[in-house]
Amino acid sequence: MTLHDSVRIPDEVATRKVGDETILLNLNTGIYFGLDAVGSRFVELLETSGEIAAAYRVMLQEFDVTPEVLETDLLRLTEEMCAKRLLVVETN
Amino acid sequence: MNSIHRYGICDLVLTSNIALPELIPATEDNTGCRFELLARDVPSADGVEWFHQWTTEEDGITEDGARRDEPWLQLGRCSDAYVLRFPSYAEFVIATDTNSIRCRPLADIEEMTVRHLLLDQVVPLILSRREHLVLHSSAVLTQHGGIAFAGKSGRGKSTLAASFALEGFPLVSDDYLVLRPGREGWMAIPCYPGVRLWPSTVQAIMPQDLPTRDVASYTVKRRVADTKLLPRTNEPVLLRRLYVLTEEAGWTSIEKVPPGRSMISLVELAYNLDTTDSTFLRQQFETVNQVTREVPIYAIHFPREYSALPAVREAILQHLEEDKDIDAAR
Repeated sequence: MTLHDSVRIPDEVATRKVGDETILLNLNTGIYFGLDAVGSRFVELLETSGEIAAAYRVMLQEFDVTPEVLETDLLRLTEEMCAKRLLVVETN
Repeated sequence: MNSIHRYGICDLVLTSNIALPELIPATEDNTGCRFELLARDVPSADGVEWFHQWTTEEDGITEDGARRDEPWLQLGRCSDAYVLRFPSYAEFVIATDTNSIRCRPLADIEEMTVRHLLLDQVVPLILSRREHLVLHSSAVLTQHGGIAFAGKSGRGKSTLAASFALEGFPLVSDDYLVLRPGREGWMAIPCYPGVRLWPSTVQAIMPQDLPTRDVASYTVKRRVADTKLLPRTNEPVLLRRLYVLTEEAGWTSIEKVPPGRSMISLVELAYNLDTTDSTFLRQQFETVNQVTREVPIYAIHFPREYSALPAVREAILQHLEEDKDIDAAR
């Protein structure tokens, strides 16, 4: 997984914004996942463009974080969500 | 087995070919679900596609906490029905529309055990398809409205509810709670009389020599159903608070659960007959979201000591009183 990958929330995943947090539920597997405010913002940005790099650039401006830490955190979160089928990598 | 009995449970009119003395006879004619206990020699359901299984269950756990190794409950589906198989006891075939339940004993089990499996295991799963939300929760009625104690098995839901009922707060339900939207908010629908408690709990909190009944052949739990001792309400009550029973603590503390965490808690505590039905899961997810927004949800930590129950009750009642206006302004 790299910043140049694109991902999307598959149709079988329901999302609800609850306060600052977002809850995602994979309707096929029953697996659910809670995201804090930072994770929620990431998913919100992914819903707009799907490009991890685009989300990364916006979040670098919005949060007090170093580029290295943000990249590591976003890629780790993306991989975890892909493993739970809450995100899928766009192939084209 | 020719006579047909008619009962009410959580607003469901259930007819049965065996007596279900745990329930209150229904006066209405509009049967919602028919139960039939079959003979042992009736063949098992064919072509079942098994999709889920539970390995432990509260009533299958001994009082000292030892758990069973074998699957407790297998859930499957055949052409027009769901199949719930309790491998050591019985198989329940539930019509997809949940209008009928047929039970075939898998062993020489007592009718009492069939009744318990029906009323305390199968019915809440059926209700999960018929009602808006069914939670692993007990509930009582206070002067401020209904309060629910939700939590996983063994967290003390029944003990806490029984403790309140002994002090005159009517029981709404024990172990599972049906929620339905009403004009003023989410309504808790009364279940059937009584609670199920460990013998040590009965001994610790109930009057001496209280008559109790067996629950099922595989558990030492006791059924306490004396409505003079444990009053109950027959009417739906507005749910004012939901307390999630969490880890034991040396003292009682109550804290607001953040909205996201509340939602996850309710998803975890919701009954669901068919975990493969994505349409239903989406609907349930939305319902949980609504309940989370409209019902204040708190986590409560408390000592699991019988001597602490009066203080725990007092803390909850005080909490209800102190935050009444805050919640009203939500």
